[in-house]
Amino acid sequence: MTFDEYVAARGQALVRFAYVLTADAHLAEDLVQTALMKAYRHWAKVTAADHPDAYVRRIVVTTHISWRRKRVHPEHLTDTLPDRAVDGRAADPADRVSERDVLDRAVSALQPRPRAVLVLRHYAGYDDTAIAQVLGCSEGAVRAYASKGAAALRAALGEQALAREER
Amino acid sequence: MQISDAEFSRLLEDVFTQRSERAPEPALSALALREQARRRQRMAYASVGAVAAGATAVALAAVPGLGAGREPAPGAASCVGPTVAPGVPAPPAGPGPVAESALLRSTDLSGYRHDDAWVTANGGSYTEQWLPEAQLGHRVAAFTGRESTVSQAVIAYAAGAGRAAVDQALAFWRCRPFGVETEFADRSDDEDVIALSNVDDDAVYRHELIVRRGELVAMVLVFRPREQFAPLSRATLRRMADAVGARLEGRSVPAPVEVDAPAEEPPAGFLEPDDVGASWRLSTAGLGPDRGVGWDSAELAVPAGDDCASSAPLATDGPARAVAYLPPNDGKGSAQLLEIVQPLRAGTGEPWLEAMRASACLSRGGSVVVGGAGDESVVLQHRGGATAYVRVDDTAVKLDLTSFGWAPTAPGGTLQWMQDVAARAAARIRDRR
Repeated sequence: MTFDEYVAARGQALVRFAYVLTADAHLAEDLVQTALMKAYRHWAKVTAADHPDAYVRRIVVTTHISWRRKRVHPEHLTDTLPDRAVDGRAADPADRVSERDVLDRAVSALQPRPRAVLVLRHYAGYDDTAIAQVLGCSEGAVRAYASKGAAALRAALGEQALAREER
Repeated sequence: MQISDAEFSRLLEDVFTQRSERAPEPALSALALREQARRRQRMAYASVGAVAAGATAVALAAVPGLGAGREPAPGAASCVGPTVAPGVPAPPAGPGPVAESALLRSTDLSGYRHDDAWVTANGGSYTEQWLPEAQLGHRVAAFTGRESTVSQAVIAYAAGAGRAAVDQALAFWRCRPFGVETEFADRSDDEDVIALSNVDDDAVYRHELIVRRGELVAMVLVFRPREQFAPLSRATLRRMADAVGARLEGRSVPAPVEVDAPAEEPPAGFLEPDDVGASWRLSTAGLGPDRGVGWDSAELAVPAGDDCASSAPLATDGPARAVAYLPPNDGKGSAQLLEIVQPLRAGTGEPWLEAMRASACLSRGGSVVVGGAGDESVVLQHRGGATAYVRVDDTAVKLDLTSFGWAPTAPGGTLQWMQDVAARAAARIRDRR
């Protein structure tokens, strides 16, 4: 597969992945462009990999973590609360929407590694072994990141439920 | 609230799926990515790496209108991006109150034509989601010139929201990962005319024009591959902004904007394009529309130190000037030859070249030939091209060939070719006297 063919075939999927990771359209584009440039410089290595796509996604993730560390491209958290749900969470589809909104915001607020773990696990469908390879850490660390991230998200959901009960 | 692990997973998958559905659909250009990657790679391994690596940024800073005289982005002390909350309604897909006449026309930009494919590829949409909740409608258009594009979105905002949308756009641009400079920013309650340029560390120059008339906001993005073009000058950006403003007001544009200035003659003392090779041409690239624009003298400083990162001071006698040349478009790769001419103080030319010749940095990883052009010369071939340093009395010349697959066909290869060009460059300097 040539680089051009790869970009044509997988470029959009990579942008979607980057967007899921960042929730920022411009940042996602920057991230993918940067990752693809890095991949191009080592294209022979990329195509020789068992899973070239995983290789490039790894670059996307590590670049994102690196940018976050350097804070060269801040992400933009929302300062407006989403619409609040009415009582009767389970019965009302609006609750579901509201939960998603809360989760969406909470994911954006996560530290990059826990966030990357959750995205790789729940969006990309990676198992812990694959995630560990992407992040360059142990499977135990992956589970720790996942646990930490999930706890933060559950806490965000809990706060929302508490606020609803107070009304 | 307690939810099961399974429900939590499903919720999270929903969130990510929804995010992926909201992802932008950029037209990724493999060509642009390849060129940019090559450029960066070349910067990394050039034998005069330290000098070269700093050259682009320094050189760009020396382009009139893009250097130290520029203003920082407004309010750069803080960096607050746009706030797009989940759950905010998507902006309307249709034109709403935006009239077709509010857009630029292809006749407004000399040498550009409508690019309907771009608009189709982007689904008739755009990515500038400033204050989406206050948008009433939008129209987009795109124009393609000689390897450059101009895309435009005109967005109508609810009463009082236009200026806030521009504020948000500015806040966003200030937060880009690469340097964004403000060319001009004229703001009032009723109107905004802003030009931003992003010329650092990229395969393309990006210019963003933001023009507002009341609640009608035009965002114009200009992409110009840096291998083919110079960044737009402030004057050109101003003319484009005037044209955009005229259309927003429903007026016609008096004369098409010459976005890509036609090639001019090189200044006296520089190579003629034919000196470089048959069908070579002057570049509008990288150097600005004025030929022989100012350049940074550090390009000719003698690299020093083990890491080649420092350099000995150069005894200059006036500014350095530069001209770039491009080979014919014959599908045999591309290249750029940069010629920099630097007058030196009387008596310092000879020691300059002697120091250059002795510099250990220059000989790393390349072939070196001494002599043969001007009074003295050093010619090096390295991965990615070749470089020549030539002295004519107390005038220093640097020729830098950056090759992307291009190679001379003449016997002797790149090294001999560069020696010949260096000799002709020296002759042009002598002819001028």
